[in-house]
Amino acid sequence: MTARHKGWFIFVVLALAVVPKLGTNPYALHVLSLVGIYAIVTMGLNLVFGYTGQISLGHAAYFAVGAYTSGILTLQLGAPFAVGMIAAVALAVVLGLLVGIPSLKLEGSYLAMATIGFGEIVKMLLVNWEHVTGGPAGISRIPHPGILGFTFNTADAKFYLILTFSAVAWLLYANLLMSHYGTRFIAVRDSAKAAAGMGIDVRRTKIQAFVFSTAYAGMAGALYAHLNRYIAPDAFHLGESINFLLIVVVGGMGTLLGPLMGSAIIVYLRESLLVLKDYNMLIFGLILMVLMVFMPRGLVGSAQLLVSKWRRRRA
Amino acid sequence: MATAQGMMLEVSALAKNFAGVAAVSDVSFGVSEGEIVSLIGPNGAGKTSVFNMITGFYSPDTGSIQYAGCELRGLEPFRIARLGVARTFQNLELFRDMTVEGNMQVACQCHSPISLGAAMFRSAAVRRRETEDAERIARLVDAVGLRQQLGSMASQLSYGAQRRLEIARAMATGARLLLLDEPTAGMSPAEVDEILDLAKKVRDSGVTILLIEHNMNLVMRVSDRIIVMDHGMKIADGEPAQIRRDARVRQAYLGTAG
Amino acid sequence: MLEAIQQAATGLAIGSVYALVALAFSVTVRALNQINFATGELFMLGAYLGITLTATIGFPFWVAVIATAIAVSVIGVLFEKIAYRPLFRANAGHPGRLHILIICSTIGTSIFLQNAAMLIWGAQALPFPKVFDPEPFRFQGIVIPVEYFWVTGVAMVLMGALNVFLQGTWIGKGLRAAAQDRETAALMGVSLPAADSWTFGVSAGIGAVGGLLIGAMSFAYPTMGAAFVLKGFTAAIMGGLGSIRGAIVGGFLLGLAESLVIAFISSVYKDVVAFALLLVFLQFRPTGLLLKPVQTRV
Ligand SMILES: Nc1ncnc2c1ncn2[C@@H]1O[C@H](COP(=O)(O)OP(=O)(O)OP(=O)(O)O)[C@@H](O)[C@H]1O
Ligand SMILES: [Mg+2]
Repeated sequence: MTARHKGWFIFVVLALAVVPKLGTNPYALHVLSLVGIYAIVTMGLNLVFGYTGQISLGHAAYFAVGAYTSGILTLQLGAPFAVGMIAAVALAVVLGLLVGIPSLKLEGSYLAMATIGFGEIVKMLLVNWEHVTGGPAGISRIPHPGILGFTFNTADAKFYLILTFSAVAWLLYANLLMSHYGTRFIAVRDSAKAAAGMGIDVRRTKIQAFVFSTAYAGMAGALYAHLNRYIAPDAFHLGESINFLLIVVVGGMGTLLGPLMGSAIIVYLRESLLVLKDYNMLIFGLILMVLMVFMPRGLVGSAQLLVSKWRRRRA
Repeated sequence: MATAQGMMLEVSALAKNFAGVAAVSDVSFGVSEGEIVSLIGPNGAGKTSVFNMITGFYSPDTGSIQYAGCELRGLEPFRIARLGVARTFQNLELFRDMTVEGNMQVACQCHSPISLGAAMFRSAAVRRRETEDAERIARLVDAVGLRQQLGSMASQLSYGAQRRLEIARAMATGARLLLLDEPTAGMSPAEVDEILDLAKKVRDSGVTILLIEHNMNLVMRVSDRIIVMDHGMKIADGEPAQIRRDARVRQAYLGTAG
Repeated sequence: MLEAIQQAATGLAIGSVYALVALAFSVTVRALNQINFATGELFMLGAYLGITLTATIGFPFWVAVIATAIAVSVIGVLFEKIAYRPLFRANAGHPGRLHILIICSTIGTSIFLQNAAMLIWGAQALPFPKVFDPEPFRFQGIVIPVEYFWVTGVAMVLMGALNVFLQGTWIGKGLRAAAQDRETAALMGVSLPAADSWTFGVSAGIGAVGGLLIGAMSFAYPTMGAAFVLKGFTAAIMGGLGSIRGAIVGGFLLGLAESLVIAFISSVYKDVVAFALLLVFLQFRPTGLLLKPVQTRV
């Protein structure tokens, strides 16, 4: 990261840190916390999908595994939040490897369908493995997160916790993608043949991207469980996987900032369309179709295009 | 023919069939270190298939490929690249949505010890390595005349510039043996001359070149040795002057029936 | 044994519906190498239209089938013109991106259609009107509801009709030519935009009849598409995605496999069968039973 990037990063984090001090109501903070959680999931998904070109319509499953692992460990076994978090990430990664390795051969629509099938299997497990997952009713009264004796039990405190996690997640993600190492992911997407010809281990690269994304999904899932304090299989269905994918596409796949913009826009859209009551998802679907036609590069991609055109005209 | 002595690459009895079509049959040849060897032949002769087998993209039905004392047959393409064999592609395989610089950065990682974790935490080793790579990239893009386009998208370059970028990218892997598949296809005569100079410069820097090329003028001027293929078989192998006189080669090219 | 035969009859009926959904997929994959993720919602529309046409308007069953097929085909054509073609035009040079955008756009269409159906017909499941003889067919202790014969019969007739359409009519021949090689077909005078419209229309019509038939065996609900899309896709993969014969074979095989699992194991695992088969086929035989694996060119 250049000095200018660092400056922007610190500015944005500080600006967000001030938000709770402006008398923002707890509901708005909750929504903003959700944006942070979605951003973490979709940073990972963007690496897999936007950069490496591997579609996944099953990311709700890793998100769910993270949420259930941390929820169950902290509630049933009284484990501390940190242990729940680490276990959530670890289990999501293990599952990611289990799915990622056999999926290596698949591409495009085949991969999309396989990941849907896998997501459905995980959801069936959540519903049917009742004595562990609580079945369709899910798990409630998950403890507030606590670190070193401090309990994050207010909307403010949780917001700061999630802001910290998102900021660190962002730093690692941005470092990776702005490094020379990060170019190998795009290389695999643009031409796996040429990448292999340049000495890049394509399979390993795909697995790395997938594991990175499942770790992020697991981490976000744990945060979600402790933010909401209630989880049920309904929150992790195919629609949620689709939602993650849409955030990446609407934000701008393969752009660094896409997941942040996409999360903000999609969460905001869904909340503000709620006033339309029964029509809200109908309109949501329409907006999506229109966006794909008029903004195929997503918000960030389109903005970049505009800026580069404007620069060229001035030059 | 000379034996293994001084041979960098030695291909023997290579064969490949596609659904009954013999794309390559019983082809053997060697390339010594520091040579420019051209592989020529009419369309469909099997030249690209030979490249694909050397670089691991196709697995040969029979035969062996010795490179610097290693058997390449059975190795995956990325392993072969890491052993020092890099190639360009007949139909251009650039990373189209990346800049010229990005394309070069990918190739620079061929021997990079940097790990995913190090990149995420941007360790001192990462920063050092990236500075070194930047210098290497600057030298290479200068050599192929793409200095000005470093920040342009690969897909936005002219056809000739794309071909030159592929060559520079292959060189950035630190290859000892460069396989160029029709590097001048679709180029103007002036651009062809540039490629000729470039090939000689590369050879003089100690890199061995195996070249597939249809431009006979270029082939005759640049090659130390020429191998001719037709219908999957090797029909001639020798110095340019010999090849020029070879009856079978003339026949293959002029297409005299029979 | 009786139980197995009984279940096999169900399997055949359901399998013929899976075959239709698989066909709906294969038609677009063959022609455009694209999966239409809205196939499930067109299927769902078929079920609702079937109910409306028979119950509210009082069409005889077979008239309702034809009317539904035509109506949803028109929707499919509109879909092609509104959601597909602009994307295709704008991203022709980027096949990778086009693929993703089409997946997302068709997901948008799904969300739209699902919610439109919910607004029109309500969120509850809607039963099919009693148009069939309530007295089932009985033979040696085997009991088969009359609608099963209708379902299997209609599906077979439609498959036959599709075959005649593709092999025997000049439009069908144009579609086949375009599916094989777009450029050559265009040179021979096939209008590619028209061919694409037909492709989507035919795919939508077939899928819709599948939905109507499932509706006739049970009921219609707004999210039914998602459940059947994965089954239909599995069937298509089993036979060989893009192959017409493969879709039919795969559909019946999947229907039978499911019914045998119900007969001999438990109905709890019925849905796992499809997912498991999907993953196994994708892993070990992605080209399906009827197609041969190919070596890609470098
Ligand atoms: N993946 C493949 N599948 C089927 N046939 C192939 C494949 N690759 C090459 N061939 C066939 O093998 C033969 C040799 O092809 P190859 O590309 O090696 O020829 P070439 O000498 O490079 O020709 P050109 O000068 O046109 O590039 C041709 O008949 C070609 O059609
Ligand atoms: Mg060739």
